[in-house]
Amino acid sequence: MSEKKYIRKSLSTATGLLLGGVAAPCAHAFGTDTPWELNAAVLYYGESDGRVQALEPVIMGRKELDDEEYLNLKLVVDSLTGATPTGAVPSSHPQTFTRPSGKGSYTIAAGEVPLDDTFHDTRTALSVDWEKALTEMTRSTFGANFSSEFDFQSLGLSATIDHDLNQRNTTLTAGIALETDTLEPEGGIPLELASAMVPAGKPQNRRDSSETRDQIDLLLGLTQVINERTLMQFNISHSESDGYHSDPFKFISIVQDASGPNQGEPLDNIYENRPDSRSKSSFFWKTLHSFTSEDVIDFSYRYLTDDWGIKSHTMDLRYTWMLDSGSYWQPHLRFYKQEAADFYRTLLPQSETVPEFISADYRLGDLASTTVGIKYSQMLASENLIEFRLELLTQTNDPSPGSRIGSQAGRQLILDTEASILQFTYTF
Amino acid sequence: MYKKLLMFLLLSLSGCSLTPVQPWQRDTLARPQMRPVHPVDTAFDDHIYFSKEASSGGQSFAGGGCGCN
Repeated sequence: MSEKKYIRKSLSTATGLLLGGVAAPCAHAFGTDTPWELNAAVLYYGESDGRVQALEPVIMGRKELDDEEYLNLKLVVDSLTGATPTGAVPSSHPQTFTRPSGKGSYTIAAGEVPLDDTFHDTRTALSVDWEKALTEMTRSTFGANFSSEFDFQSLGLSATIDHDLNQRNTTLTAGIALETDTLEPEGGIPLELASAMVPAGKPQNRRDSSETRDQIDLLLGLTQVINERTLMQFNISHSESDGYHSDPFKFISIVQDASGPNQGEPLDNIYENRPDSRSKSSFFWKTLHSFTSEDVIDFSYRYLTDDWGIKSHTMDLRYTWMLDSGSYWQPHLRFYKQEAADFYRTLLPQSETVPEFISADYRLGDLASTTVGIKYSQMLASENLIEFRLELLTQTNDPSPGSRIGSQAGRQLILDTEASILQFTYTF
Repeated sequence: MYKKLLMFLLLSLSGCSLTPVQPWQRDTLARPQMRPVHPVDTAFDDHIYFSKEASSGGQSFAGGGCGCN
């Protein structure tokens, strides 16, 4: 056995063991000698100003079990730390917030946007996909995924059918996915719209220890070969979810709106409340075109809308600049723009009645994201692939209309997000 | 609305009288750079933007399997 084959076999076995002891027995049961195709990657995601930092190693394996039959396994471990905005607005005085556990507190300086630095989590996720040809023109993929965090568990199942037509120039896709999530946040599920400002050590406004959410996704797709160098993909998808959609760690500030020296100052911070269902639909279009130089342009657009009032546009552009060696550079640009959910409010004036649904989570507000990045992919002499990617993400947000009351008029109510993304991938 | 959109797309494509590309003409289409999905990059991107924006899915299923949103 050559050294490379020996290394690959050893790593395949290690991957099989890492992925739950499933991979290696399957390979023997089906008696195929085709080696595992493996991807090992690590992603670093870091926001500026001590906000969210994530480290995400992943290992993926693909094995041919039989003719037109494949097994895909993926193991991801996420490690997250850092501070995240609570949704509360700044005050002219220091603000003391109780930690989610109800046992401790943290203080935010006057004029600063409140951030909760309790955020610390590790997620482990495992997914398995089994692809099999049903007929000469039809393929099926069945998948299962499980992920577990300190306060969140998710179980998902999916099935997809691909059918080729028109001398394999057209592929129709139909898929369904089911997911069930269980949330067990530190300290329990908050009592919606109740005060979050109960001092540490006293009974907090909580109602239950856990909640659940179920989701079903449907996807219909059409992939069309336009010519020898161009491919297009069109998808429409629909998603329905029911259950707990609120974020147990997000607040909304109630501010004084009566004129006077304290106008605009927060009087209380209450837990948010989102609707218990969400219906999302999207349209996705992608075009891939290879030039005669073998450079490739990849453009996609997505329009998404939901019954919360969110509408978003996403454009993604990648240009693969091929080098003679088979290696390439790939610049990347992504633009995203979103209209706020109907119930998004940056703050709530005291004189207004508290609505049934309200959230100050900036991710539900008017926001725009821009990502600029570059990737380098190097083909090694062994035909293994080594890839580096560096991206910069910038996110800007607009406060909801009417938020600039009194002392809040000159303040930055929502922090912009600036994040660096670094990725290293090895394919062998 | 989606039914009309799908019909429009199907009719547009069939009306373009596309000449089928034969298997021996597919060397360019078969290159890894022409795959609609990169197995690693796409999964990482989906996870990042699922956590930071109110939209997900489109190219694939929208579920996240993550408590970050």
